[in-house]
Amino acid sequence: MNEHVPVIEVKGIKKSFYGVPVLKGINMKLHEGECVSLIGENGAGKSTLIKILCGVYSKDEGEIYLNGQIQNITNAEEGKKLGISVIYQELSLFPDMKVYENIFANTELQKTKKKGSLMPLDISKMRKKAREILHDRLNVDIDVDARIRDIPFSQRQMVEIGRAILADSKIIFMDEPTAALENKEKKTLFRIIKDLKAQNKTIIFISHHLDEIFENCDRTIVLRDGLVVMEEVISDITEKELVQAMIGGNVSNYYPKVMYERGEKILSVKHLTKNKVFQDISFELHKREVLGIIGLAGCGKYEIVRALFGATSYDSGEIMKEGNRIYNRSIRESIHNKFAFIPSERKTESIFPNREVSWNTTISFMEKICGRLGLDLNKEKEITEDYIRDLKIKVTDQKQPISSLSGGNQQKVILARWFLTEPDILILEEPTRGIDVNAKTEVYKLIMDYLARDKSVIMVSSEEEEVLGICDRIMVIHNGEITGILDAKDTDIEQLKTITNFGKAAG
Amino acid sequence: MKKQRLTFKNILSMNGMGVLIAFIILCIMLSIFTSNFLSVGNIMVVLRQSVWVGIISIGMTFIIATGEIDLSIGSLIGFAGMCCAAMIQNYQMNIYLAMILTLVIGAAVGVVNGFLSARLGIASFIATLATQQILRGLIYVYTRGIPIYGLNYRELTSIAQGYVGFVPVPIIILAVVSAIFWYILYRTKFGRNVITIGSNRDAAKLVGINVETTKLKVYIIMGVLGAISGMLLVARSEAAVVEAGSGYETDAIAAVVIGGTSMAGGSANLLGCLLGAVLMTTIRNGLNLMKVDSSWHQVVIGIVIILALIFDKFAHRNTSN
Repeated sequence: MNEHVPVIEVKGIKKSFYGVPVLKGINMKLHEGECVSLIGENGAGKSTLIKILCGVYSKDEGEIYLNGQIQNITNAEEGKKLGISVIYQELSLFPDMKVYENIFANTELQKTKKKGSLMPLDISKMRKKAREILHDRLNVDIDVDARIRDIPFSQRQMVEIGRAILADSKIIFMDEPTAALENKEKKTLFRIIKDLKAQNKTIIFISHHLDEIFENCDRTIVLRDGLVVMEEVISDITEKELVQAMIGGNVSNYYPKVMYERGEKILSVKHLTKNKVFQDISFELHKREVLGIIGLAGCGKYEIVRALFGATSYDSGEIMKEGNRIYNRSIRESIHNKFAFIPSERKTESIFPNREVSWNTTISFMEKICGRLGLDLNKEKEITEDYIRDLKIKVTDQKQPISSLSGGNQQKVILARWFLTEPDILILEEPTRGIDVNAKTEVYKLIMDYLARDKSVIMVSSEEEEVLGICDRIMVIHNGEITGILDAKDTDIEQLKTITNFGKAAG
Repeated sequence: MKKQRLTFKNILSMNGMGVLIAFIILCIMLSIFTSNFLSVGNIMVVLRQSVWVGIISIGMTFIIATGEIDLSIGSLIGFAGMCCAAMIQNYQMNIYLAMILTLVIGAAVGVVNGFLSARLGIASFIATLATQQILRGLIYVYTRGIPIYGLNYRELTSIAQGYVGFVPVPIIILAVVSAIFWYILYRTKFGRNVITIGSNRDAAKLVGINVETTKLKVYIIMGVLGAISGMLLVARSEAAVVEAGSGYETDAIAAVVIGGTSMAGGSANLLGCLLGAVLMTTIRNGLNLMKVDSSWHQVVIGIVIILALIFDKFAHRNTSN
């Protein structure tokens, strides 16, 4: 099966975003008719690698060979022409169009010999061909005239695969294709993968489910920190070896955790509920404590803290701060109650991109810079200067737009923005997302320093290491409910990963 | 990065510098080609004619800074002028009371625009296009196309025709309004919030800015300024005509944009927009002095706007990224 030239071979692929290296020299080979699982933790570089291979991103360094020939794939259109298709988790179908129209989107058949955008379409031929692909090649029963929005997700996925077959793709990437499927639908998908292999297609399968990988893949490639750390035939390795390769040995080196003596209770939340999003959330928060909230994507962890901050509503429940009932029905109310909130999406929800560093710093608390004659720009300058020095923010001029700073420095400005309001409870969502390792450590240090001033932090994160490295207690959310509140010092990473992923401790 | 120096390139890339340079070149050319452009009398004429567009372009700066637009302002000028004229002429109302009520009407129109776009979330381009039609239509409904003439009351006309010393009153009004709104925009929390909303609406919400209320207030400001501009126009011509203010919204938008304020929101250049308003009046004035057929005026103004914008884009290419 693999004695020939590999269908795709990559050598030394490197890619950085804003100076942060994501891929540090990827080498791998894929052969005709095999199904390879690509695994790695969030941020290991999987999706960046796929996007480079299909032409969405451009690589900084390295070569891509298709059937032994060097290729420079500069856009997705070209990638598709060269026989590379990607089935993303978020399907790229047109919901209001019919199945066959989606399959032939932008490759419509025309009645005339001469092709042109104004020539009449050959609808009956397209429908016939679509039926051939779906019924004969994929062996699934889908009405080609149905509208995408009217068919279930699993069938939409098939339509997307049908598209790849129409394009005669040799290499098909599937990004977590089973994530939204029921068991029966999964079986159909794996049957299709087997069929495709028989038709000499190469499938790259991304999944977080070990059993699926061991049952359906021929080989596995493991990414960690932008490097290939394992490339093995699946029958030669054990599950444990695979997980260890993925997680890596050294964890929690750079978490500057300080164990403070836990202070008195500052916040107690009882039965906080938002219908169909989260239910019956009860917890307590103490001074000088970091409470971590963790859970899978879509479990409701962000919604809980956003409701607590008044950024979204909640339906019922009780919030008590220092013995007083508070409501936090609006953001202004919760800021008044000494809450602060740093959202996960820095670009779209935190920064005012074209405005100055100083502007971005003082925006949350302009009363601080109000003089007798309105805003006192000298005072603003002083305050900003203080924060730039204390938080070690790297800027050339406090009047430069915040978007010109690196992600880590942007995040420090956002921290300064909220330190300015001196909140009792600082809520952080993914505080170190998209910033490099050194800046991460500095952000953690700032959080620890803040705690020393008798303050409390709630940190939502999807990285188990970070939560374990920084938090005192960890609240695990599964399907909108608390599955457990763990003491960080009694928990190890495998326990935490198991309970986060499966909602219960391994028995 | 090096410390910024005041080099020629840096000066060129400052916001609104394009319009200033265009303005200076234009003035030099006009003073060469015409005999009386630089006379005190003519300068006063130019400034006085800039007032109507100048006043609403201040409001338009606020609107565009939030990332919105107001297309109804030209119609509001006509509508407010008509209301004022009708209250005085047809209902013999006290002139000062009529003027105050006109300001209230302007504010009310602002509330409607603000409600439609900020509260109901209708795209402001469409919402204010609708109110533009409604207001202009109401003028026709009430007047049946017949202007309201003969408004030669001293209390009214003095705001447009009077002098303090040798300075015309409307120029003083523009100066005072500019100073007040410069202060509001650059030295108050409210002004910061206006620009901040335009820079990133979602982030603005998350730092506790009430986006809806702030936008509503901005539309009220626009409405009041429109009413002032409308009254000045009536006081100048001593009549309320049905097409008064028609097309002023585009002049104001052009003044704001050539003054260096981005249509994307999140920035505001108040002095630039005033300069933009004066620039456009100067072009009209110069063309008149050079006895160019008035049909050509719009063509020339369009070309100047394009040139100013190309210049700004060119000068900014080096600094932004």
